[in-house]
Amino acid sequence: MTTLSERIDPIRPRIGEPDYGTPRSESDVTVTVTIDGTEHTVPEGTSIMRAAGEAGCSIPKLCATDSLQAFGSCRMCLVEVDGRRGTPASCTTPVEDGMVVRTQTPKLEKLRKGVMELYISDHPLDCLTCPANGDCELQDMAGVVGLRDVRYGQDGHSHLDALKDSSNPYFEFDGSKCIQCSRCVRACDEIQGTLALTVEGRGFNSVISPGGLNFLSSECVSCGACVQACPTATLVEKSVIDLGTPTRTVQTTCAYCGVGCTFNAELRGDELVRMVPAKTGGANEGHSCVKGRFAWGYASHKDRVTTPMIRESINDEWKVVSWDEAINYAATKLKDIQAQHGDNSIGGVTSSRCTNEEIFVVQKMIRAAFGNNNVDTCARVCHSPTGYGLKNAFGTAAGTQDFKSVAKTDVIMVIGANPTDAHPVFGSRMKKRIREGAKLIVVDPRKIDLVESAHIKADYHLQLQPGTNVAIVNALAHVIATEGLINEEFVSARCDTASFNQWRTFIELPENSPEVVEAQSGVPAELIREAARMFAAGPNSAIYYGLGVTEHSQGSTMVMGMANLAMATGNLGRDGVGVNPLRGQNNVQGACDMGSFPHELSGYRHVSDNSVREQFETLWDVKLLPDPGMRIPNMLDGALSGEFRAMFVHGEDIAQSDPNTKHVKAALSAMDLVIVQDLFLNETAAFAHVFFPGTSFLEKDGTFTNAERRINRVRPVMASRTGKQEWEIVSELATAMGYPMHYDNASQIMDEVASITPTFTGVSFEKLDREGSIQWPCNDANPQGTPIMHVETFIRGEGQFMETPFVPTDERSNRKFPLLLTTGRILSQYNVGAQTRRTANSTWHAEDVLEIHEADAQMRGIVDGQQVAITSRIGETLMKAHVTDRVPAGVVYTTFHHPLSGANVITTEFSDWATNCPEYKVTAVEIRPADSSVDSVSTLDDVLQRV
Amino acid sequence: MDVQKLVMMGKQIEKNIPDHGEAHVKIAAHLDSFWTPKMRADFWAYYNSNKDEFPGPLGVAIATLHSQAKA
Repeated sequence: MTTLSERIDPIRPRIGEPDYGTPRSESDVTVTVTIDGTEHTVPEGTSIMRAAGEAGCSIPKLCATDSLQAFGSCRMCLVEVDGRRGTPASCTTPVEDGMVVRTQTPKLEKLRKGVMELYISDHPLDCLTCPANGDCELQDMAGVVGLRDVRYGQDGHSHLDALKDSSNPYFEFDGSKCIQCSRCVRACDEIQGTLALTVEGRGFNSVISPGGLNFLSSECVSCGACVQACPTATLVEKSVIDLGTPTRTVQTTCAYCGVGCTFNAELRGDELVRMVPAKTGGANEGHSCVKGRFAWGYASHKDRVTTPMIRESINDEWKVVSWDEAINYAATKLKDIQAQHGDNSIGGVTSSRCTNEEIFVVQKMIRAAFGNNNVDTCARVCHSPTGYGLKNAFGTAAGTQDFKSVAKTDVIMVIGANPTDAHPVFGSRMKKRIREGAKLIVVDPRKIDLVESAHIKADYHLQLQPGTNVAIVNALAHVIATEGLINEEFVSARCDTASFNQWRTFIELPENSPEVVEAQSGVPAELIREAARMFAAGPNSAIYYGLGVTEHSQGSTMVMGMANLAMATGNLGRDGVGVNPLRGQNNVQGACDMGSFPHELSGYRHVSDNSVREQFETLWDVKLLPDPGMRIPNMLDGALSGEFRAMFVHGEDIAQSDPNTKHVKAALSAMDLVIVQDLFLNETAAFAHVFFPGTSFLEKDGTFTNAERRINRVRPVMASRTGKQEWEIVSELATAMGYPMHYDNASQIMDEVASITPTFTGVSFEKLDREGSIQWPCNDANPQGTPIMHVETFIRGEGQFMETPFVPTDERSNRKFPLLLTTGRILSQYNVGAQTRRTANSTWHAEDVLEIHEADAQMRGIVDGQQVAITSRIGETLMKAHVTDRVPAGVVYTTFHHPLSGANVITTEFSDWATNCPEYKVTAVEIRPADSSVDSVSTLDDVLQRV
Repeated sequence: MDVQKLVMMGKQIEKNIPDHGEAHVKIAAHLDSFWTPKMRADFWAYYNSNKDEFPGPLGVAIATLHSQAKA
């Protein structure tokens, strides 16, 4: 007969991952200890608790968990150590060589039982109706220590009547169940870095508090770290309260930002109960944000369309049809259009939200079945300059580091990125390193949270005018070159000498000096000089950047400018350094890797390369074109001129996300056929003739590749609600067009990718399932993948310096449009909001608002919360004003998560010179109170009617 | 595509590629790598009738591309 303590293992709870109580020691030195009579060898610095757990001698615990530093407060984990007096806490006591430890003795059992008795005397005895019943560490430990009776009763002073806080839409706080272990407070401090929670009061009166009135009104960012850390039902997901304790787990990958967090989807039967970040996730190591952790309800939202639909005209009602009818209708239309207008009259767009396998088959369908290279991807409008710039400088279109690398960085430079909102899990890693002492330089027109927040203060905030990035990066490099701060040894050993010498001559020109750039950028010269010296001093300096770099008329130039800076200071090829794009969507990297650009096949190989093209032609048994196809803006322009007639839009909402909405909608209206494959009838679907229902990430089988080139498995948590995987639909459409395409499963698609893509040759589902994840390149030379690139040599051989002259954008403020509008994201919403707007995340951000400086607001008679009209030379829209000092005078800012606010109604046609990535970040505008205009805009509908 | 947009794109590329006597080669390579044949042909047609508008390396680049295509 088994005992309760044998059945409940504190290390391996019934749901979730093993918990060894304290973090792993990174020491290379090992020590050998004897625990309960058996010798074990572990890294120096390992706690007794962890050593015992790894050896299978689990020690009871309550305040310890291996994602947090040891705290030593619960007194449950006491042990006896030969030669030592007393009973030290095993979580805070490191092992020593030769140490002899006993974890189970009559004395320890008595102590633990006594401690547990005290806990239970102030805890509700409602286990059978508690939402954590069966998933409660307090309950488990009571069983482990053999508690059978509580002598103290519950009549005395207690916390049993503590109030509940249900203000957060996703979790509940029940103070009556709290055991004061502080795991929630420590998780908020150590993991998330928000420091929203605290212990208020002293002694018996101490309580956990979110600081404000309640969780919702507090600084809490709803990352869920506290809920995950809580050993009882004090902090518990509302979905668990509603649905019950999960019974099984499927590990998969989040479909929001480019961090690519690994999650354990915990289900009860076939119903998803909660998403819990996996400690084994290479990108997130057990952490999450409010989107990935909680905002997955859109997958079952009532707006989901799960049946195919067609219509002759966009003015007709949709007609629900069978899959066969929809696919044959689309194929016939596409072929008819090509017959009438030529092979090049059709094309398509792949989606960075979809899996590598789905993306690969879409670009294959376009190249092989459509017979042209008119394939582009939404990376066009975000990180295409990254691909261009980094490929020129280093030889490959990808970031250089893994996320862990930031833990070794001494100077962090964040340019045009807002990690705590847009890449929050990486943002937490970054904040942890800053709290440990790393220096921080922020280059951004807006005062993002990293500039100053709890225990974080940037050493320098270079608050530049929008559109002057290149001037600033040149000025930084000018200081480094002219003050003798170049890492000559690195440059000499690793970089192309001729390009370096040419660049050095250029960068030392007076036009690049901080004093000249001050007038262009508005950043004081001395600040630029000091920041440059700090970056050069390192010794490990790293650049992290986002769309504030790429979405400019000189986005590609800026990427090359940052590469120059990193090479000149020798900050490449090791831990703690590098040039690191923070990718916007979950699979931007993968979409680019898979050959989604019109000029490149998978692995960034140009279509004009005969030998590469021949490989694909042989494998696919089709002739491929050697010239680049159309980019998205080319397709839209071509639609208006009549040469481009049909578009397959896979998982993107270009009518909302692309610039100059009026232009995009006119182009879509002009097409003979628009096919949309998506979860919802999005803004683009209003112009569609065929709708193929897509699958949510919870239904997909495949892989995503995150911003650190990490290929993660996406596993189906539930059956497809449409009855098909998305790659099946695409394969059937290609087949219906006359190009047979068939796969039995997604694994076969990855095998095909691996067979023809040199950086992926070692990748397979079987290997990913075995290893967890792999960072490409993964091939014979790097069978376990490549966490850090360019270690010995650059992919291209020698690093290439590029001259980066500052060319001001043509989009400038003037008397009519005196303010510069720039755009960004907010934590709770994601991209165009199609997913997050259909969740309770809208509690935090129900509409986009316009941030405006007090001086600009006063000048226009605008008060906080007032509806204002925003006008550019392209269009006009309405939003509420938020008067703030986050933006400087002369600059206004908004997000683009809500279609009604229509931020892209006013953005312009200007784009990056090399890639046509839109210049979202600079639009000259004027703002006025919406109700005081002569040409009054009474409602938002009025505005949209005009568009 | 509207040829004026192509002209605008071409001139933007020209402004962003520094000229040490070889910019026309880099511009030609860029247009060859990223523009469709029709975009290049349309631009050539416009250039051929408006050569005065392209005194710099952009004009040389498009002429070079055209002669290579003919060859």
